[in-house]
Amino acid sequence: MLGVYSSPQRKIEEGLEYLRIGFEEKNEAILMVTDELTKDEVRNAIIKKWKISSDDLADLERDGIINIKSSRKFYFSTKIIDCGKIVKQYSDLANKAIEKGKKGLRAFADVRLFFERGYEKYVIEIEKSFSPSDDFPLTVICAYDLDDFEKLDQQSRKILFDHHNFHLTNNLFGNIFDYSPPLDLTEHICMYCEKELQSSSSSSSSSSVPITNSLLRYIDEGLQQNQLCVYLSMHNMKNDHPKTIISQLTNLKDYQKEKNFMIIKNSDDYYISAACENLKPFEDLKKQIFEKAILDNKKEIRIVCDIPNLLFKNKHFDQCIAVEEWWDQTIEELNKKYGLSVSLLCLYNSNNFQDAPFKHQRSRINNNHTTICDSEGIVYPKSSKFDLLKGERIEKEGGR
Amino acid sequence: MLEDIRKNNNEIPNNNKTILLVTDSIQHYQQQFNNYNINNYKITFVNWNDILTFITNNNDTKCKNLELIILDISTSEDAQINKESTTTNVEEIKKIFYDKRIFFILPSESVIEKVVSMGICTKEDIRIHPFSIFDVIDLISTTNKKERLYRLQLKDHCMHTYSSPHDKVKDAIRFLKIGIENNEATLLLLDKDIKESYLKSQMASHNIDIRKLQDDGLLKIAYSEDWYLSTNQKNNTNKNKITIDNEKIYAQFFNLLDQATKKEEKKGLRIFGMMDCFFEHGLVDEIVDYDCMMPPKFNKSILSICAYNDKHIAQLSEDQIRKLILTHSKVWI
Repeated sequence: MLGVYSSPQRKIEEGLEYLRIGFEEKNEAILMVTDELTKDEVRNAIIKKWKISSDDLADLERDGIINIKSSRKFYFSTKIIDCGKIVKQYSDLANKAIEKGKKGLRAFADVRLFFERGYEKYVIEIEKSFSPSDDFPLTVICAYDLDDFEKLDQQSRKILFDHHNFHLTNNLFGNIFDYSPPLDLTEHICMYCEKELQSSSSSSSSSSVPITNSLLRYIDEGLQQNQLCVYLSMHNMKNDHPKTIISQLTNLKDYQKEKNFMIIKNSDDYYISAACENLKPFEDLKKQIFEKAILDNKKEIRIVCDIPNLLFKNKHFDQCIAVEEWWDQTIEELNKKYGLSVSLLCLYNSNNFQDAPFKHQRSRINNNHTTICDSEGIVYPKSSKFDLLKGERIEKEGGR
Repeated sequence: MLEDIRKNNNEIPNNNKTILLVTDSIQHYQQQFNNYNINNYKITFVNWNDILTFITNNNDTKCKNLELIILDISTSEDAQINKESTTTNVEEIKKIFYDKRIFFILPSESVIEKVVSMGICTKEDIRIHPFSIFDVIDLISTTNKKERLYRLQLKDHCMHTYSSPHDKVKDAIRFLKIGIENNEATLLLLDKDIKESYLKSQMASHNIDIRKLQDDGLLKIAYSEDWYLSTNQKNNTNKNKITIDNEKIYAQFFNLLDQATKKEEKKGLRIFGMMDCFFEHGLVDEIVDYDCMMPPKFNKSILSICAYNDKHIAQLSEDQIRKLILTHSKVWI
C-alpha cells in the first residue's frame, strides 16, 4: 500500500492505528519502521493506546511479534543501500511471525529518511524491487510525507502509484476527471505537464506543452457532453496540428467535432499581443466564444489555453499573470452576466519551473487557479506548498 | 541564395513584415519553420557568405518592411565568433540597419560574456541555440513592446533585482526620466556605496540637471540608510540598535506624496528604493516583513521599485522569496 500523509504527526498516528488493527484484530505480527519517534516514544504510544503493559510489550518484542526499528538501521545498516537485504528483513520477520502462530507481518515503513538524505531515487528502486509474488505474508504501508512526495517527478510518482495495490492518500489527491459529471464548470485548472527535454536541435520542447491523454480526455469529454470546446494552443501555429488533434479525439463523429470544437489558429498573435501587454485578441476571443455559445445555445464551455506557458518560459512573468487574471475575470463575467459555465484548462510545462527565477514564480501561477493538477489529472491538495501564502494574500488585500 | 519561408511569394500581402535570419544552417531552419505559420510575418534566410551582397542589393521597400534581424553565430562554436569576417559582417549589418533591432543566436551560455565583452551586443539581445519558431515569436514581441520601465504605472509595487550598482543607477536614471515626462515626482533612495559625484556624472551624461529638477519638485534624493533605518538606544546598554520604524517610513512617504501632489502639483510620487542597507545591517527578516506590509497595488498615487541586489536575494529562504514575490505587482528577478 502507498500512504501519503499531510503531516508527520498524522503519519505516525495513522501508522500506529493501522498496526494496532493488525495486532489486535487480525492476529498479525507488526513492524514499525520510523525515525520520526524514538523507539521508546513508539513504545509509550503503544502502551497508552493499545492497552498492553510495558512488561507484555517487552515480551512481544522479544518474541518478534512487535518489532520497532529505526529507519536508519533498517534501511542504511550497510554503506550501500541493499534492496535485497531490505526485502530479506521483511521476509525473516514475516516467517518468524508464522512460526509464532501469527498470520503474517503487518508493517508500516516510513521512508522520510531517504528524502532527508537525498536518496529519493533509491526509494523508487526499492519500491520497484518488491513484487506481488514475493513469497511471504506481508502487508506493508510505504509511508510518504506529502512534502517529500511532491518532490518526486511525475514519472516516479507514477511508478509509486503503479507499484502499489492500494493508495491511502487521505483525499490528498483527487482527479479532475473523478468529479461526477458534469464537471464543475466554473473552474480554472492549472495542469503541470512534464515533457522529456529532447536533445534535438529544436528548443520547442520546453516552449510547448505536450499533448497528453488528459488534455485529449478533457476535450473529448466536453464534446461528448455536447459542450462548446475552445482550443487555443501555440501548437496551432503548426500547419497540420488542427488535423492531428481532431484525429486524436475519439468516439465522436466528424460533424460533432466540427460543430462544437473551436480551434483558434492565430495563436502567435495572442502570444505577441499578450507579451506586449495588449489583451485585445483575448477580448475579441471572448466575444467570439460568447457569440458562438449564444448561436449554438450552449451553456457549458471548456477552454484549453497554453499561451501563458510560453510567456512564462520566456520570463514574461507579469504578462503571464495578467493573462491568467484576465481569464479569471472572464470566467466570472461569462458566468454571472450570461449564465455560461466555463471551465478553463491552462497547461504548463513543469520542466520550466525547476530553476530560479522560474521556481520562485510558481506560487503566483498557482494563486490564479482554483485547481492544480499534474498531467494525469491528479489534483494537488489545497494545503500543499503550491497553495502556500494564498491565505495571507487574501487577508492582506481584504485589509487594504 | 535567398530563400523565403513561404513557397509562393505571390501569396504574401505587401504589408507583411520581414524577419531577416542570417545563418549557415538555412536548410535546418527551413525544415523546421516551414511547418509553421506566423501571421503577418515572413522570414527571409540569408547565408553568411551572401550577406554583403544582400545588403548591397536591398532596396528601400525591403528595408522598410524589415522588422528585425537575427544573426545566427551558433554554428561552429568559437570559430564562428572569432572569425574576422563574422565580426566585420556584424559591424556592417549594424551600420546599415542602425535603426533595426538585431538579435544574436549563440551556441551556448558559456560564450555570452565573451560576446558581450567584445561589444558585439548586449545580454538582452542574445538567445541560445537551439532556436525555434517560438523564439522567433518571442523576438517579435520583444521588438514590439515598450520598455518595461515605461510600462510601470502609479500604484504599482515592483521588485527588481540587480547584479551591479551601475545597472541600478542606470535604471534609476531611466525611471527618473520617465517621471519627468509624466510630471511625477521621483524619490531616489541610494545605497551608501553610490557616491554623489558618481550619480551627478551619470545624470550629467543624460543631460539631467539635478539642481533644476530639485527646484521644480521633480527629484528628491536621499540615502536609503537614512530614510529607512532608525537608531534606538537599548535600555541598560550603551549599544545602539538599528531598527525599521514602519510608521515613520510611511509618514515620510505620505508627507512627500502630499507635498508633491498638493503643493508642487505633480501627478504622483515615484520611488526607486535601493535595499542594500537592510542586508548590510543584518535586517534580513525585517526587510521581508517590512516589504510584505506594502500591498501589491498602492491605493495612493505612489509607484515604487524595490531594487534588490541579486546576492542578497540568494540569502533569503524560498519562503521569504515567495512572500516578496506575492507582495509585488511586478516582479523582475
